[in-house]
Amino acid sequence: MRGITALLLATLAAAVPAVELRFDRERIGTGTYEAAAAFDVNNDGVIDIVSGCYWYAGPDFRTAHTVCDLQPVDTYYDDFSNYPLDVNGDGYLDIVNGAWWGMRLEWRENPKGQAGLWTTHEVAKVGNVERNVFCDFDGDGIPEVFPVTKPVHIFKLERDADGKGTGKFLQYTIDKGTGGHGLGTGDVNGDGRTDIVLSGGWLESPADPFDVEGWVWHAKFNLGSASVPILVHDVNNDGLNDLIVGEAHNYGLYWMEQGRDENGDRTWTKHMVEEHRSQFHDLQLHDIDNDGELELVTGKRYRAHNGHDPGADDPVGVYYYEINGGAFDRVTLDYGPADNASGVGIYFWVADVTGNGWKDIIAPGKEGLYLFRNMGPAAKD
Amino acid sequence: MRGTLMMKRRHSLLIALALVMAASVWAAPNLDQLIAGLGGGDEEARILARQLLPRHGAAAVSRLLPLVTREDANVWFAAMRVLEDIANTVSVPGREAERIETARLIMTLVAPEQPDAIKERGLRLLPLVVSEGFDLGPVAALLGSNPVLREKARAALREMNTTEAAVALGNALPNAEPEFQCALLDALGMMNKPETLPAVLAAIVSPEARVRAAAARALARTGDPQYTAKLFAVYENADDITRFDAGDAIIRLGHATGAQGGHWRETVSLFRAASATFDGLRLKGAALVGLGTYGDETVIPTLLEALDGKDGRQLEPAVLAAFAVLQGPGADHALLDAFSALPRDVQASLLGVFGEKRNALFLPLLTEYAAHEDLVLRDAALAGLAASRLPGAVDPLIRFVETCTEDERPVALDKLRRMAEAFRNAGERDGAGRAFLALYGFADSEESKLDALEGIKQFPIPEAFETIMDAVGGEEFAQLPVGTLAGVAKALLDAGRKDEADKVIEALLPRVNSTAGLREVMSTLGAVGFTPERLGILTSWSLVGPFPWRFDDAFGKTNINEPDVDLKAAYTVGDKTLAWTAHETGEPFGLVNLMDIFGALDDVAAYAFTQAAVPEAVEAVARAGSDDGIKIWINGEAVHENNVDRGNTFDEDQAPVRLRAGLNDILVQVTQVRGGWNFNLRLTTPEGAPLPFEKLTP
Repeated sequence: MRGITALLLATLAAAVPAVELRFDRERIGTGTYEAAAAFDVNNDGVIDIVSGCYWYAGPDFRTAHTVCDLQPVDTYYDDFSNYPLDVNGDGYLDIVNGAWWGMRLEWRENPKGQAGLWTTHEVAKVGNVERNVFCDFDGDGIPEVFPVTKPVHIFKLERDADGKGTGKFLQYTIDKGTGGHGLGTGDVNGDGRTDIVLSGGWLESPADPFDVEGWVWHAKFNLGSASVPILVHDVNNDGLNDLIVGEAHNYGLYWMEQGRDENGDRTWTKHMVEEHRSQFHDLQLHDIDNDGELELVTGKRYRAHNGHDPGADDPVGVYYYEINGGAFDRVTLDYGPADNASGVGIYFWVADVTGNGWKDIIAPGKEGLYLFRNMGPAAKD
Repeated sequence: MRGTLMMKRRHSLLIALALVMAASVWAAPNLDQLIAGLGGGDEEARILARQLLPRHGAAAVSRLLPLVTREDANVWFAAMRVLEDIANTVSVPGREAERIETARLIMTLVAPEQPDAIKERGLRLLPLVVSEGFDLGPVAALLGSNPVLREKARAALREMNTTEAAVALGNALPNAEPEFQCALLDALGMMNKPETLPAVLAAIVSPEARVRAAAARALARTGDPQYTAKLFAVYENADDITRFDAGDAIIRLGHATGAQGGHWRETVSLFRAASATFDGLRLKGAALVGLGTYGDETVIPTLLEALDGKDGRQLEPAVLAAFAVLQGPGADHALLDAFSALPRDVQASLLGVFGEKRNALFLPLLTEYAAHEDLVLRDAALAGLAASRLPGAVDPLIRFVETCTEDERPVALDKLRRMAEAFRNAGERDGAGRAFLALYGFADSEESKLDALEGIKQFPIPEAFETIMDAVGGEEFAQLPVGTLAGVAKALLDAGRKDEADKVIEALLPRVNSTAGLREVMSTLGAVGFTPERLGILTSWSLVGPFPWRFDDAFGKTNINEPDVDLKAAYTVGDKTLAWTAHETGEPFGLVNLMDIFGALDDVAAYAFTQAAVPEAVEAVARAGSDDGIKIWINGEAVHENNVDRGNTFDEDQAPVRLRAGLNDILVQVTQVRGGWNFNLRLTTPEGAPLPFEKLTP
């Protein structure tokens, strides 16, 4: 038996993180929305938390203020991303959202930090929006918005001469590629431009990303029901950007190694990270432990398909992975049944909301909205 | 009967009137009278005072307190009960002022000048009424008194559970003797107030080992992993007497941390460190179970190492318990991977754990080991299969029953029976159906055969068809309940096997010879298109009515020139002309609801006519239910009449009839006194089986 123990120790034993961090978890409010963000809602210099129908005033997040009414649909709400962007240029951050049932891209207008409902404005009807991806495509400091739809739409905030948002978006439609579940952005081919990754391949960016005819489709892989986003990142530090993909509605988390065959053609090799955990719907890269390296932060989206996904009843969890050249050493912050543990929903947020220099995790979901306060290195007394 | 009722009502009215008059004459005693009664020697007066004084609420408290100090146990005991009632009454939301006033008054019982016995009475009352923010100085002072009184004070403060109570206990901690320090820490732990953490943390470095252990237990209740190292330090420095308590505190901290959630890594690290640190088997086992409770696949190596160690044998139950509660498919896969290299006895136990997990992942392994040559492993796998409640576990168990020795057979059958019962309780249709079907085949007594049939009836599956059809025509068929047959027929229809379903239905129809059986068949098959005609129920009628009718008329009055019937005729009733209209009932038992058709009427009658064709003359029975009375004519001959005021009971009236070959005229008159108005009629053989007939739509 010693043989098997040794083998299991080698393969299963929990990784010891480079920096052991302490996180303190706190439930915020009673909402079960799946998207959240943290930003200064009322310009009082204190970070607040927004999730679904409410925003919670920092620094204690104990007081809920109503943002809007959201129609519940079974265990969902039509609220799948809460990105802060000053859309109308009034100096207050608004919220950009994708609506699945509303079939549209929309934004909610911040009433200048005052009490009252936020007015929701339709940007465009684009079909069911599973979620938005936000990426500063053109390097102007303002992210563009990509609702996960087919065809691919890029929405660029229109700005006035002072650089302020006008409340309108310019729409660019790239009618190429396969669509499907999953969307990511990043420089796939190393030419310095931001490409778009879809479930069935990637769109190569032209010099002008708004030249919609100039995009080139490469149907080179099938990522299935992929996460939103698909991350483009050089996992093994070989100078080629790889893909990090979660199975949004199935078991699995993996990375696709970019390589070259004997002819110099691009190859993709799949490496599993997690085989037996499911519904990795949202993935993000952040330096959680302040070691100068990015960690992969993710977790389970509880009841991603309302309980019909494989692994729906398995424990939920919040994790970060020290990438370590492809080792992906998991650090578990929370794990267990959904009435006790947290997942990360469809759109979680990572930011230093406590101002202690360590990034915190705001994890929404159908199991509740949780703030994981990063307290820095655990005390060794 | 109506006159008797009226007399009773008059009696009740008079009694009530008398009571009201008496009440107006009798005046309730006032507070002074009640206090005097409670403190006096008249037992009846004391009983009355005990009952009525609580109604005076806080206003009575100051008057009651002197009675609490009396030596006569009858008096002070009664006063205490009244005060308890008042304390509870004023402690509800909205009565805060009364509550505070009551607490203030009761607090005088624990004043320094009071004798100890009176103080104890005060300490018993105060927890009922003290609320957050109330000054507890007089009670806190008692923590420094004699051992009996200070313990009463400690218990009272613990029960109060306010911040002030906790602070009082914490303040008493430094100057208390070690034994009482332990008691104080126990209370502080249960109260778990942040305000007293400094006092507890100070105690954790006490020179007294028992105090350190008590402080560790108190800290454990916080569920805060930052105290893990402190608790381990207490364990390391514990003496032989307190080491278990110190270790237990670590286990408690782990569970409190894990149950709060959000500290997964710290929780698992704590239990992992505990399992490595603890010497005692009980503590080590508890740590291993903690690992299983909160851990994932990464804790399995630690659990296996424990099995591999010098105490592996003794720790096996704890490790298996940990395996049983481990969560997540990652852990399940890891356990499966580890299985083959485990010792045989661990494997045997783990097969049971795999069964209890009820996860199809383990089914192939359990199935493989259910045929193992090693009897221990085989029995364990069979038990695991039985416990798994997986439909796929039925076949391996059946195979075992088929191949086992005669000696093994009773045990094997028992396992299969238990599995069938488990499926039944879980509502697992396929598994239950297959298990009961197999049990039917294996049954060696009438009792076990009927038990299995009951299961087949409850969970019929298409595979039961062959078994049922094998029995058709044979002796066994007579034993099969009609409901079982109907259930199998429905399962076949659900599975799209209509021809086979029809065979079962044809076989079951002659057996439907009771109202109960008919109801069972219709409730099972009615939802899948089974028509009532197949049970002899007449559903197509021509109707005419309503005709004026009185109960005393019975059936002596002719309205339509009955028994002759002319469907084209019209009848004048008052200023209305009545004509025959066709009606097809969709009710499963052929109910013709005349009230729906003609309206909610009193003292009327209607007629219904239909025809049924049979191939040759036959003796039959007309079975009818009606609301209210009914008369039936077959081919112009009155065969039944029942002038009655009643509700409809299916098949209630039965009349032997002779049907001629070919068409038979069937006329029914249904009378109505008031309320419901309906009927149904069916034809059966003299034995009660449905009579096949050709339905003719009028």
